[in-house]
Amino acid sequence: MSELIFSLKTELRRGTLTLAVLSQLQTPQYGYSLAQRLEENNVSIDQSTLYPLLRRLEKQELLTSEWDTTENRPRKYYLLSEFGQEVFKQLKEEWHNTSMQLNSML
Amino acid sequence: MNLIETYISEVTQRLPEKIRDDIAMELRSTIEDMLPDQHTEKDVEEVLMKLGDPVKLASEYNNKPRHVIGPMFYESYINVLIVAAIISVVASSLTLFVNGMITFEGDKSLFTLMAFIGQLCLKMFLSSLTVLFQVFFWVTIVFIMLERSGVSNGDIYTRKKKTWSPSDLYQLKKVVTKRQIPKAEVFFSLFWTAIWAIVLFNSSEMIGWYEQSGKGLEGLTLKAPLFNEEVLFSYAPFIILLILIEVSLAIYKFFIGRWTNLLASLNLIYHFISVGLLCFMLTDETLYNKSFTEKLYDTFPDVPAFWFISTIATIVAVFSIIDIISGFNKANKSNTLIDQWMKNG
Repeated sequence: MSELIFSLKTELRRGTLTLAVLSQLQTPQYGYSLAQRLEENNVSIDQSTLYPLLRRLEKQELLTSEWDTTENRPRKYYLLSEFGQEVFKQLKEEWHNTSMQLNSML
Repeated sequence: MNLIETYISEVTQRLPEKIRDDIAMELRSTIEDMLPDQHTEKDVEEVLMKLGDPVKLASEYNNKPRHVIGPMFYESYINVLIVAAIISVVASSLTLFVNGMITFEGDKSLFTLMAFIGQLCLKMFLSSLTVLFQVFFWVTIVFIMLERSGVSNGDIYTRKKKTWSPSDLYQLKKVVTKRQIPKAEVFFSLFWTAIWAIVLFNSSEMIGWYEQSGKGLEGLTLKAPLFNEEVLFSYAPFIILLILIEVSLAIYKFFIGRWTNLLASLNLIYHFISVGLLCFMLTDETLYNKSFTEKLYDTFPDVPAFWFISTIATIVAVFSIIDIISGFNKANKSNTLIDQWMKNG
């Protein structure tokens, strides 16, 4: 029973994680800072899911990335690309519509 | 520190070469970010615990399907498997059965017959098992390659030119009934292939000059086989190729179940090869056994052998042409004027 609930919850949340990540990348963020920002906003995401997700989004050209090697610790910064902005806008709209529809039913 | 490097290499060794360094660097900086400035071994362990199993992390990075055959191909995989399994078991059993019936010798007492049938059943069962194993193996290999080649991921759906509408169903229904290939036809053609292959390869004991030396059928003895066995077997690779083509064509027919232009074209190629091979073999004089021809001319001095051979070739060619044309006809049934008219009316 609890296992089923867990897997259903994960499934329900999966798509929203992308949206959450995109929303936080209006300004350049590196992996750990992004994880912290999400945590501050009470979005629970496994770090082992987050970092691979960033790479996938980059491969899909929603994000651009750049290594910053000026500090003593090199960091990879991710930022929303132009295409990513457009996708984010549409996903946000979709989310609003879906949650409105669901709220009216629930 | 050492623990961190071990963890990173556990992840990166499972990744493609070209992204390894980048991910290693990113992971290292992330892990260091997560650690407090003055950290102990225990802090490191806690941080690594948060990142979780390196194998799982690597598979997330890889983002490759963690299945052998995905939902995209699963259904057709099962279908092909079932169809191929049925056909191959039937074909192999049939071949063994017919072969067994032909080569059956010995007295016809009930006991030997029963023993023979029992043995034959066992043989058929064992060969079915091997054949099933082969089918399973090859079909699975092909589908795994399909899955890995990246044909999936929605390509199949997006490549469709037109979107589906219910009116397609009317079209489909009409086409299906007209172009359908009866399953019996497929089994008959497999049966036919098995028969001619067996007869041809056993021709040295079956076809030839018979003479009556005793009473009844049992007195009939083969004096001279029609074909020169050595020459016949030098044709074996081509004949086997033809058999393979025939069998695969039958299996393909069974699977798609209706005539298409592709099938009609394949049918055309098959007929060209088979008629070509037949003509080539029939006109090869070394193929015929000398003692057979001698006996033939001794008995019938005026037999028009050449006329006979060319008649056979012509008849086969004519039937082939008819079959080729009817294949294309059936494939294009739905495009005829009457169908168009019926659809619009």
